[in-house]
Amino acid sequence: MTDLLQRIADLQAEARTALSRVQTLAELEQFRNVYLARRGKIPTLLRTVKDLPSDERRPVGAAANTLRRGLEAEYLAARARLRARGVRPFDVTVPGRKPVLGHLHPLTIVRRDIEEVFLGMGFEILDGPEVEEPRYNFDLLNVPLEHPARDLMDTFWLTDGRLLRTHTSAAQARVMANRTPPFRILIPGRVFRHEATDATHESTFSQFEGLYVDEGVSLADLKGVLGEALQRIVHQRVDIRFRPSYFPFVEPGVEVDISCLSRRGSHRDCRVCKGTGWVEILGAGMIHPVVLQNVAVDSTRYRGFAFGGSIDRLAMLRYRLTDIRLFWSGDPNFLEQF
Amino acid sequence: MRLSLEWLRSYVRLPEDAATVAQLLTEQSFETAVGASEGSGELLEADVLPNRAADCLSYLGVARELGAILRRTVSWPDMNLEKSLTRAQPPFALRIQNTALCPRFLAVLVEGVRGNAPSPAWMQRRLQAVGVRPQNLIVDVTNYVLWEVGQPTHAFDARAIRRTLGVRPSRSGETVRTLDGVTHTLSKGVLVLTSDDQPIDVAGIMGGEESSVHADTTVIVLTAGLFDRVAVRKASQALNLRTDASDRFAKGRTAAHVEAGAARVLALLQELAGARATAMAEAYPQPMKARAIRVTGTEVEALLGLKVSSARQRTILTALGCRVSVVGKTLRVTPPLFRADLAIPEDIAEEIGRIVGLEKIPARLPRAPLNPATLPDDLRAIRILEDQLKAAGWTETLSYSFSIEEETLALGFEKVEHLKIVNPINRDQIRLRISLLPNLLHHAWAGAKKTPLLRLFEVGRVYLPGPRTRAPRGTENWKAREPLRLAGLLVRRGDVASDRQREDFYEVKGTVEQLLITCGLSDVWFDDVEPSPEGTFISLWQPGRSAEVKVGQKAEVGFVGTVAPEVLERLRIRGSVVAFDLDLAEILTLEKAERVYQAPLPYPPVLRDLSLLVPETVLVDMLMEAIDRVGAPLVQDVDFVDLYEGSELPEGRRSITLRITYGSPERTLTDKEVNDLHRRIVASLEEEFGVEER
Repeated sequence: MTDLLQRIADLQAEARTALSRVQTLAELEQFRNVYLARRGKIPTLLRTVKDLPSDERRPVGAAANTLRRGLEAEYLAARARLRARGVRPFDVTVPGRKPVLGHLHPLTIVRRDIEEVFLGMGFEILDGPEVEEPRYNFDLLNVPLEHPARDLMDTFWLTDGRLLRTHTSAAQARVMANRTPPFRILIPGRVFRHEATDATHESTFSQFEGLYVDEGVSLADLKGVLGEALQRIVHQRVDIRFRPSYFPFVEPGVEVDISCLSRRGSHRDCRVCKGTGWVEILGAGMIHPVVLQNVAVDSTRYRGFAFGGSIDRLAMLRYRLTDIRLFWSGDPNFLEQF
Repeated sequence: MRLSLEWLRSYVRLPEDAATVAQLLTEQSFETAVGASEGSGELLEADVLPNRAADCLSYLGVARELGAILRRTVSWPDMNLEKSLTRAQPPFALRIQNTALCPRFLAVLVEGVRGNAPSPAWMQRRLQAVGVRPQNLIVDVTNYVLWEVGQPTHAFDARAIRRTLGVRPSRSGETVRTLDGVTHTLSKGVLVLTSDDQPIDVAGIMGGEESSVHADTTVIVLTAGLFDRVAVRKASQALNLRTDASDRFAKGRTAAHVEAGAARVLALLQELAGARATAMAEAYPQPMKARAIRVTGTEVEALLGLKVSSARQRTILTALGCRVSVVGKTLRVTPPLFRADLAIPEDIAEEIGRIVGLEKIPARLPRAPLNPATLPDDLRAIRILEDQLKAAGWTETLSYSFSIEEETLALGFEKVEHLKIVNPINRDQIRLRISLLPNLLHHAWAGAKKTPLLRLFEVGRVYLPGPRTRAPRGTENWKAREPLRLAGLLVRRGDVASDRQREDFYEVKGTVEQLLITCGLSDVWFDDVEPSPEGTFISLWQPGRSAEVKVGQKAEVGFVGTVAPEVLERLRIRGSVVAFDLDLAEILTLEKAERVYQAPLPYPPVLRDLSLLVPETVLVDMLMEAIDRVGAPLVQDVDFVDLYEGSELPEGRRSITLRITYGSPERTLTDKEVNDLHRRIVASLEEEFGVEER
């Protein structure tokens, strides 16, 4: 037995020496044939183990197997080493080839975010026509013919007496007329103002309008819902401020500000909030009882809040964009950033 | 409105810091900023809300607000008309022709004034602070009161008023020479003040030159009236004449202002010049009545979501000038006559809410029924299509709803009826788009100047003309009139080789096919574009290189093709453009809701490629259809592999390679079985189409 063990030890030393002399893949193959191949020295040795007396089989077999596994591993490592020698390496610092991806318009991205936030709070997403009857855009919203609010909203008129809706509120009466409270509705969409275009004014932009009608709805609910929604939309913790405002279709009416998103400590020279620390973001309020009556909702039983804001403005805040006209420019240098 | 802090402080004690005052007003009344002060002391610039113009386009109105906000008393100036009142009749009669346009008018004969006396320095300083040039005591006092009370008044030299002092709409062609020296020729319907029926003043806008106060004036007729806001606004626009007075009338005054304004002018003239009112006439046929609003404290709290004690509610309303009495749990609130905006309980709640402070309203999330909200099907489908196009390398753009003129004309679209805008600001706003393509072409070509290859798409509405309908509310089918479309352009700048153009076409076509597969449409086919008799839309698509996209037997859902070279030439586009234009609204109605799986083949299929030399008249579609027909049921699928047109091929022939998948759900097919069928298919194609296997 000791003989056999000694032979195994000798074989190991011999094979190691042989392997250390190997310089080429051909020599390595030679080495494999001599020691590891079916007719090689080690398998041959292993085959004799079964003829040993039973008490010797285990220790000798174990030693021979250890030798074989060790040499096989060394052989594989040597092969990998030798093969690599002939391989031209990749320059891994060359930029990878990216699949060509397109881009969604930033207003689409922000609109989807707004939709998701309000969907999460159970608001149905609906829309109305952009070419609208004056009664939906004004009359049913408690904006009578000679009301000052019509001064505020200069309007594109069509030759047939219709108009391009000046706000998504125009869809309010349409969507409320088919529903019985309680309901929660969000109306995102395109609106139009008759004004000359500059960096902060556009003839076309997009708004989102929210409505919630139920028993016992109050301004506190409005503050709660907008607080939750707005910080999810601008991806930042924000404070909310209500200021008195006036829209004929709500009473009380408020302007909703959020705390300025600029992370700098002082807002004194901030272009976004103009030094006030607050950024105007939405108009809102409690739906005027006349508007509820116009769509046959019992205004003695139900109350609701409504809010409306500019998607473009939120997108401008998010991307720190200063020229609203870029949204409509089709400029690939702009679109490909989103 | 411009506010001098020094002037404001004469009525109510205010915080030292102008910014604090501005913030109080912003958060509780209306947006107010600190203005630039140039020698005239600190200024505020208040953006008074339209519904508050009546009471707050005045120093007294703003002082009342600040008094209520700061809980401080306001020292009101002397403005009691009764005190200055005289029962004597003036030597002229009032003649108000249309009391709807002038519901209240007051004229007072005032003696003991001197037309050339200056006003005191403090008054001049305050007027200068708000940008008004001091002139003489009489004029300065009326201007001062315009700012202080918010009521424009006008003083005539008494010599200019003869037997009647009238108010009436002008007759066409009448002239008035106003104080600024301009002679206005009036059209019909401008409100004027008259003396013996001769116009002497444009009501509510500007007095006449001749009838005005002169240096030798000693007796004046002070007039104050309420003039219809719309009439004044329209007259002001028509005459292109805006004044402090016209601004105030256009934003709405009340009958209460008339009295307060006249009283305040008389009090000041009395105080500063010792003038005496000796006679007065008034036309006020339907005196305004105060209306009480009944509201409970709980109603107010329920709207605001905020507890406010009943005592605090009463204090606030009183400070704002309301009379308040309590009947049981109900507040009976009588707003002052100058607050016509207070009419319903919600208005009262707003007053209480903003004076208490809107910041005190807590943020609370409503408890609501757990109705699930889901994205509507069409919006969900649009998102999927947009994302798919993005993943395929297309970039979304948004363009105006107006059809850009140059592209519209280049496409000949102007011959088609559009909805038209009455008041476009520029020529690119004349028509509402009936197709996304004109604006997309505009964007694409502008974009192509920055990048050699552009894939651009838009999802948007087009606006179909049609008679205006007055369907009952809620039943209008507006979606049919503003259908959604999905269009895109692949734009390659410069000279584009023919092979490249063909590849671009197939890329765009493939993109369209993939979109339609996503929509679950199976029965999609591409038809030659037929030249239409009107020759309108079709001119866009290059014949022979464009296809109409159809679904099943009937539905036409759009086009895909190369934009005709003539169109590109007209638009001076140097490059090639392949476009698609899909009727998304129609596609979404065809979208299959149900998707049922097909069992995968349990046995391995056998693939065989088939390369054919094909006459040009034989289309790939025809071959594939024939293979399906002849090879059924063992042909599982036929795929297009390659098409080659080269000069070494025989004249009029193309080489087409197809891949046929053979298989059976029941067993593994034998080689012989497949070979036999394959040969049969080839033979049948040879016979039917005259093709040769290569």
